[in-house]
Amino acid sequence: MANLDPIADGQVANAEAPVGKGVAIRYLLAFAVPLLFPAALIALALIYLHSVGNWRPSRLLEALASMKRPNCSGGIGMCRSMFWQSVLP
Amino acid sequence: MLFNSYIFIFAFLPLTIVAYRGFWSVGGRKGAFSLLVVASLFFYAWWNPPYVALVLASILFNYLGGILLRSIHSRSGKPSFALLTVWVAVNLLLLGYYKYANFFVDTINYAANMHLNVGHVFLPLAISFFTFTQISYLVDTYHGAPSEYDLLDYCLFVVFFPHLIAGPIVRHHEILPQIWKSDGYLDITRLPAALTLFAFGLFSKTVLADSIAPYSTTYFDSVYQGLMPNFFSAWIGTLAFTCQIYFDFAGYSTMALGLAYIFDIKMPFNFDSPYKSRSIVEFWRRWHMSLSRFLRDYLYIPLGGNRRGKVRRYINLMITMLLGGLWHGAGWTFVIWGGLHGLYLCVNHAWTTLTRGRAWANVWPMRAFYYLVTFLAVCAAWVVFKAQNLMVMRRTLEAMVGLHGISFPIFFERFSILGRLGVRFENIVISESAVLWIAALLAIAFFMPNVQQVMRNAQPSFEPVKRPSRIAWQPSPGWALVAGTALVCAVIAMSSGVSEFIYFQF
Repeated sequence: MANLDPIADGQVANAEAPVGKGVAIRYLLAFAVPLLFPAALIALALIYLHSVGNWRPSRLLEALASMKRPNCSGGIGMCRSMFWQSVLP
Repeated sequence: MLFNSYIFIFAFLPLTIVAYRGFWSVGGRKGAFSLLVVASLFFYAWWNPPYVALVLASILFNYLGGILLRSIHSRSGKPSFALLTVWVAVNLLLLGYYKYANFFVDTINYAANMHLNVGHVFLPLAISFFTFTQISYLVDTYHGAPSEYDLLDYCLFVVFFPHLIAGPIVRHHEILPQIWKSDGYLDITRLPAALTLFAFGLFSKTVLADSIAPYSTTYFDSVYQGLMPNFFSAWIGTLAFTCQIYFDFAGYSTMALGLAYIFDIKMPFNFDSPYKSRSIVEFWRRWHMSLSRFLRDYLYIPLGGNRRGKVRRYINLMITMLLGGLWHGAGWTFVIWGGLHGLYLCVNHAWTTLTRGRAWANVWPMRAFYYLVTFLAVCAAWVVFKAQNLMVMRRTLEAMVGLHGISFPIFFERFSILGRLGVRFENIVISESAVLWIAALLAIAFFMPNVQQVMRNAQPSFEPVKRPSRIAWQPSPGWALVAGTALVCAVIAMSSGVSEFIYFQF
């Protein structure tokens, strides 16, 4: 413990890279691109479900509610299967 | 509230950032920091609202302690040791009551066959962290360090949500001057680095640590329920936990760094690839660095450190590590874990003294041996740390050294060298995915740079990076895509359930 000095000799001084506002905004936009994929997939899934008929958005809410039922206690796999059974046409 | 929860990522954090900017526009620095204090208390209250009163009482009590210590020092010309003792004792009594009352009563009942009962004392979240943070403030004030701060700044220093729940254990002279100097402006140019740190930290927790967690949990729960472990299952369970705690703690530390950086506060590093250590002394320079520093400065050195001869140094090391172990939790396994690390440190220092100046002790096979021995010693200590009781600990350690026989799954029969070494093969059911996960995670831990090394250009901490890596983050679209993808993967991984951080319970 006597040698537990977190700051030892021979460290490299780190130079802070200056980030301009424009660079930061471009970075944040690119950062958001991967976040769009799940959103796009969900949108496509909803369009598909709607196109095959006999499906309405309220079923999604019903399905989510089904996951909170007391008999949904067989682990996450059980809950997921109940969810899909409720959602799919 | 946990960093790896939907409510935090999609509601608390964005709302806090927006409100912080809004309050800054209206009330300037004071407005922004007031909002941050309220948001941090809300973050804490999400777990158990009544305990916010305890945090606030602790803050006011210690702030008052600081004022009294300074005023006595300036009037009489010397600090009041009695006052410091009273204030530190009250802090420790509070911690002792909430954290250790049940443990001590159970121990006394067991040892003396008594039936004392204090009821079930509910442990307030993060009490160890905010108590230690404020003890360091009092001790530094006693020693005459500049410590006169505005109450709002002091509140923010203690309750700032990135470090409140699981550290790092921050010190006032590192954080409060930053708060004091800050104009509270939320600068968008910090967001790329801050969000990248958060994304990588979340990935480490939800994708890496939580994926390996079921293997260690299943193993230790099975042994707790009476299963006699074999050599192979004991090693799989232990290595799974070794990986789990590594990525869990790395994830939390990285997220804390990133979250604080959003608000222009730079935290100390708390984690630096500890499994790359060549000795236990080095391990403690890399693992929970803020706790090591606290124990060194406020326990080991006041006990005399290494200034009172070799024997006293080893005694001081043992006391420090035993108490460090007890800090982690009220249980004998934590005391043994601390004691084991104390013993490791003593052996480490003795070996260094014995081999000083000897060329053979530093040739490459010896260096490789040091890495291996350090890692195995740390793994063995994690068994003690994780085990629910002494029986689980004993059975696992016995199985790991082959006292229950060494047998491998039939899958390994193809490696003839094992047969020649006398290894038995049995129809042991193992999860191939566990073996693959462990191999992949250990490869990352041993050979990849850690996030703070990669993020050195952003300088998210006030400390310099000791060992910069060749791979360096840049605010480029390529890095943004990598970080964004890490965040998406991490959030998707959260759908299988939100798990607490291991250090959350301390």
